[in-house]
Amino acid sequence: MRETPLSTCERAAVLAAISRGVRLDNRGFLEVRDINLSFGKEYGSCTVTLGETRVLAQVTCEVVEPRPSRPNEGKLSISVRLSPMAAPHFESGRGNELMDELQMILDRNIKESRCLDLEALCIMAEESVWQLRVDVTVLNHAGNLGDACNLAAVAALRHFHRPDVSVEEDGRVTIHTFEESEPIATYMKKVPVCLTYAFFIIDENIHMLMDPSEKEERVMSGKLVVGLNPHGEITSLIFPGRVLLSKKDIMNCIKSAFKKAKFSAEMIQNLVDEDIVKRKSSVKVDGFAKNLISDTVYASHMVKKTIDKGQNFKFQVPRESDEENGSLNDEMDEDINDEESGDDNSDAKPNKSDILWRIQSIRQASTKDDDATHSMETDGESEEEEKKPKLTAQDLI
Amino acid sequence: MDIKLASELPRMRSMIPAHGSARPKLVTPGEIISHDTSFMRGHGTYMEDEIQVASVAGFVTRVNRLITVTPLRQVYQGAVGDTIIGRITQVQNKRWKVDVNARLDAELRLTNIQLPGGEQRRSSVEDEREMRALLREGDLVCVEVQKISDDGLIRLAARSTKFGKLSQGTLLAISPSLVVQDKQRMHDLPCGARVIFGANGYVYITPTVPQEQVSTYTVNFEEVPIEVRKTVGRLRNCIKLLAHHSIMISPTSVMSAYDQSIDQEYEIKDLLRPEVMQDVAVATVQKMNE
Repeated sequence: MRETPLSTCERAAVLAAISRGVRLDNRGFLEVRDINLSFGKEYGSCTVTLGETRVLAQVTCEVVEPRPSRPNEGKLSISVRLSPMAAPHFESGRGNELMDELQMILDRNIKESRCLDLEALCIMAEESVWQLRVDVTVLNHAGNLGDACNLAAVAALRHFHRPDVSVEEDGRVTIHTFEESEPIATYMKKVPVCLTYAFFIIDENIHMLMDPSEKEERVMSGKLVVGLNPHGEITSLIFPGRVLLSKKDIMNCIKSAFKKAKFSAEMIQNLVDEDIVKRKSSVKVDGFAKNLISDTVYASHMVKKTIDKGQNFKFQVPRESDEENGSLNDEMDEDINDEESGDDNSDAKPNKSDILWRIQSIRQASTKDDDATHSMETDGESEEEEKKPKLTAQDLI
Repeated sequence: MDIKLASELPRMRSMIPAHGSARPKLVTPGEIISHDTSFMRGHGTYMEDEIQVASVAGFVTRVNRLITVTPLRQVYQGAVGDTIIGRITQVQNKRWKVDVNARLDAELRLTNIQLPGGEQRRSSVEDEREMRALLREGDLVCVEVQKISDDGLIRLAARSTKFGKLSQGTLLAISPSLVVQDKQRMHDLPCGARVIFGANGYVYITPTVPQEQVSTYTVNFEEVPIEVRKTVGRLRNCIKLLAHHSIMISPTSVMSAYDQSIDQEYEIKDLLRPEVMQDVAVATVQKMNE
């Protein structure tokens, strides 16, 4: 199917709102949507939700012969797939430029940056090494696929454990099952993070947003995709579109990206480590079953999320929704014991809504850092954007 | 702020009165239609081991020895002579590409439109260069289907003055199967608005008031009075609720729903609430059955 064209008035509305300092979903200009990580039953399987964008990454491994030019190193291959499930205009099989762009981002950020220690994947030099394969599938396209795919791939790699091997004297390699001996975690030296900045040219002024939603992506004039890690290295820099920025502007974007990168990398590490600990301690692993919430529950969760965002108070689950969820209580009671996030910030959380406060606590964890890096009030934001087209470090801090 | 969950609304019983034999036979893909091999296979069916099977979800029609299955809902295929509404997506060499809610973007050639400044003028090189001055990306046009090629590409024409660029109004996208087959597609409704029921499911509601235009390609941006805008809004919501309840969209049904909504004194924004939508839809069906 083709993509339905965006109507002229929608385009004008988005641009008019941005020129007045407002985004359609009422986020701040430098505010990223809620990020949620969940892990499947197997090691190395991770789903990332960035707002409504949803991406699944799966890591698998295989013993192969190494490349003759690099006999001591394992192999890593990443592939991105845009399924028609993500958006009606995606066609499976036919490559399009979005897929090429995502592939390029992931290759540069993860493979070429050498964040994964490939030498640790070697079993016997020149004979057998591990080949890790990351398959990233986009499940829902609601804007900013680059960041989401990167998050998913990195989290999945970090989460992945490969089986233990033992090498016999005659060179035969035995792969042990997970029950026989403990699987080995992949060691990631640096955590690559990807951040996308969208630019809009309205009346000779350049407006900058972070984490564009799908509508904003269709209207934007250009974007800057920065891949970096908290150690201070830039792993990739992609600048498609029709925007002219000076070197200084790009440097300022990158500086602001570094602050967010640190927080993002920490978040991935914490969530992955928590899940691994939980997995090792408890026998039962739920995997993605927790995410399969029915329509009623999802609807009430979305309603409460909107109220909460609008009024900024700690919500309490009202009585009527408890009755609605009555029939689902049995399924959800099993999941209560698994606490995905460690932050116990909101009080008055009934057991039935563990999904709700999981989202809440992740958002609070992210707003802690967001408040430090930029102000949440729209006055502050519009002030930044109303200045001259040049973006200075002052504006972004 | 009034927030309600749509799932709280009780499910609506079917509004089609069950007449027994008058009810058409509905089939789903894969369902066996007949074991008789003497029937000719029409559209929507295929033969599998001498059994005739449906390939689309729809109702079975039999004309002598021909059995066809007409689908209930289908992507707009296009029929020669249809009046449809489209949105320009691309400006190419001597033609425009138009999104018409079909499988492919339709084609509108420069030679097939009425050029400004006189009848039947041949297009010159300057016209080719100035195509964007006539129609640019994002514009809405009312056109006629001229020809459909084998691969499904629809060729459009906008030869008379009633076709061309659309001026101020509201566009609504519904399923093409809900639009009643009608020779006359543009209707001036008594409430003061003109509605164009495109055969492709795009419905355009435009006020009849600011009508003086220099040519079909300059939009009259004169401000529309608030009363007319309210009428347009109410009509839009009425059509939306009829489509939601799978009621056929025709000038009669739309006017009936409009009158109902005024009689019941519903505000325009109330027509977006599920229970009000159901109320008006049921009342419209009852009124039309009388």
